[in-house]
Amino acid sequence: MIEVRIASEITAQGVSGVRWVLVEAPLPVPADLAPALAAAAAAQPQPAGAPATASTAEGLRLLGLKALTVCLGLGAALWTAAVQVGPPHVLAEPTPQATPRAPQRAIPVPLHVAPALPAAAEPAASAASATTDSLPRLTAALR
Amino acid sequence: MTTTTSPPPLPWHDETDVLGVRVRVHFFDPAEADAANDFVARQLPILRGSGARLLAPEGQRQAWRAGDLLAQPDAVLAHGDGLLCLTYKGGDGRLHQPALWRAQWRVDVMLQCIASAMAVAGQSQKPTAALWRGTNLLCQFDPGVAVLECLATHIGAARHYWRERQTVSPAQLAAFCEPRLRALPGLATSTGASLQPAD
Repeated sequence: MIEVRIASEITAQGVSGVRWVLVEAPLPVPADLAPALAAAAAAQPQPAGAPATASTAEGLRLLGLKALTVCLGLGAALWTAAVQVGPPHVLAEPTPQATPRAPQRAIPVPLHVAPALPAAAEPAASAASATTDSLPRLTAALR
Repeated sequence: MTTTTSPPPLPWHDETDVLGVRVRVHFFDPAEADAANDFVARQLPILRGSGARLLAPEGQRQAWRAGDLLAQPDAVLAHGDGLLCLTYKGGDGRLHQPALWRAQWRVDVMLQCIASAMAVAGQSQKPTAALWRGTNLLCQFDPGVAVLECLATHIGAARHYWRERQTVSPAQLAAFCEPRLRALPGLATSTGASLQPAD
């Protein structure tokens, strides 16, 4: 631990009123491990390469996370499709509607002439219109 | 923690408690102070004529380290049997009004100065005072027990938070500890009485 003393007051002659606190010191390297650590440090690449190594490891980690995210998303999409539509092999089987057929011509429908209808009675004369006259008109009458 | 009695302090204009730190301020005329040739008279007008002296040439910032805390204060001066850790390049450069300096106060700058003084004190093993010189005021910080313990015990956590491999800077430590200090009961609203109105 490192003792830190902060002066609480200043005078013209110096400082006074000390408050102190302990700061944790960096862990000392054991004497028997110091040569091994020094050799390991020397065997490592130049300090300029250290950030690049760290960035490479970080990049690989990010790449793995991205691949995992894509795989999870793809799996979720396939599962949703299988639940809502069906398994993939069902779509692969040929369905009767999917088999090619010879083009069929449309059967001609005979034309029928509509019989002549009697002339429409005047709306005011019909009994049905009498009941609907009391209702508000939703469309304008064509005269 | 121990506190010893002290001789008569310097004539500060005002003082108050800010987030567990006793802040003493001295206002001065910036034009008059900046015109001085002596570094102490220019940067520490309240200590003009005292025996304070720079440890390194002016403008040369030395690195001071206490544990994983690494600081490069703007100046370190020997003053009696202790040191003065001075920061004068921080802040926003605006003038502080004597009646409104509390409202204009920046806690992050204050905590950075204290953290820098801790690094200086840890390496030099001498009592160190934390000082900040603004455009027209000089401040001395007297951190309380809670502030010192918070800064000292969160150095490692701040280093991990900022993903620093070896050391953490005073700015990083201050930014890490400020919300924790504000969360401590009784510190966020601590405000002391003023000494006297500034001239």
